[in-house]
Amino acid sequence: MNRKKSYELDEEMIDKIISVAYNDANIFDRIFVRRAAKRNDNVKKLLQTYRNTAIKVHNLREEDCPEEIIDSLKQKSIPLRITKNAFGTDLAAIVFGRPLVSAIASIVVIAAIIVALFSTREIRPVYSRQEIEYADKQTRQALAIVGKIFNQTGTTLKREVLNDRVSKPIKDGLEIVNNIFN
Amino acid sequence: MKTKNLLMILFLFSVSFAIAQEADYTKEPGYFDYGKITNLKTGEMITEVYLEEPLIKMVAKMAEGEKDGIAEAIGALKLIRVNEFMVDNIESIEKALLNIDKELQSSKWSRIIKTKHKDNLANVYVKSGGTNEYVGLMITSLDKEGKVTLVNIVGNVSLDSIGKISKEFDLPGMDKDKE
Repeated sequence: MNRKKSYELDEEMIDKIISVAYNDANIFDRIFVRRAAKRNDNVKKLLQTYRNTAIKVHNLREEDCPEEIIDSLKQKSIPLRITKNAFGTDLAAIVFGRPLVSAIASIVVIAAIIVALFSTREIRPVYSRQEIEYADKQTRQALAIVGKIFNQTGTTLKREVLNDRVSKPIKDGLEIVNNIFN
Repeated sequence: MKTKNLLMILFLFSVSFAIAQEADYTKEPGYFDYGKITNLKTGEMITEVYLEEPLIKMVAKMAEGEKDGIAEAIGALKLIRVNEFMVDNIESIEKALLNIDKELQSSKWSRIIKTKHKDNLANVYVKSGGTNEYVGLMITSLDKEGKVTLVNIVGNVSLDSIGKISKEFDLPGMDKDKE
């Protein structure tokens, strides 16, 4: 269903026309106003009028302020407004005034957050109940193998070393001593 | 174009960072690569255990209700590796174990137990990580039937706790357990 657009010159439409005339409008408003200007003569006239005004405004040049006005201002001692955080405002103007710089800054901030998250959090894999139970069984099995070897070495130490190589020679030695003295 | 390049660099950076997060246990001081021995396997693999830290932590949580100290001792470990397998040529494995013994001792592992009883031999090594703590345990064992056992435990190893736990976990008929 085709719906005919009326392009009424309401406040919103006029604002859009002014923005387009002064080259401040976004791409959608530009397309919208240009289409409206093609189809509606009133819009076209108004856009042309504002464009002419915009051209005149842009062509205005700076003029030196007359000395007498500056002197009178000094006499009235109007305090000069100085922005304290000049660096901060300059930085904000650069970051938020330019879309590309703003986008890059956003990416850098997001990247920094991601890096911070990765570096502070451990990646914990998710295991199923069966996997954990199997791991528990394997742990017990592994430690049982360790225990078995420890026991074997302990037994060898007791039987072979302490009994045969230490206790028995001491016992034999004491028997010899006893025989000598008896 | 610049934004695209920047996004690509950030993406690659994030991917490489994520990969770098994966634990590399080979860099742990208590890790010992005994691959040279396992390559000599000629018979069946009797036991193969490879448990990494996240799974060990889960096991430690499961053991929380058990006797005192078990959960803490298990939770302090980072890696448990066990390989038990059969070999035909016992002489070659004895030589290989001797080389491993030299290699371990030259890389600051302390041999705390060395036993040779009849045809069985078993060595236990620990890697010291500082004052009164061990960061690695390594066991090599060979029995008369040609069964080789290799154990490498990485992490904060308390010999006292491991000994106690081992007794607790002494599974009956373990020799017959062929999983």
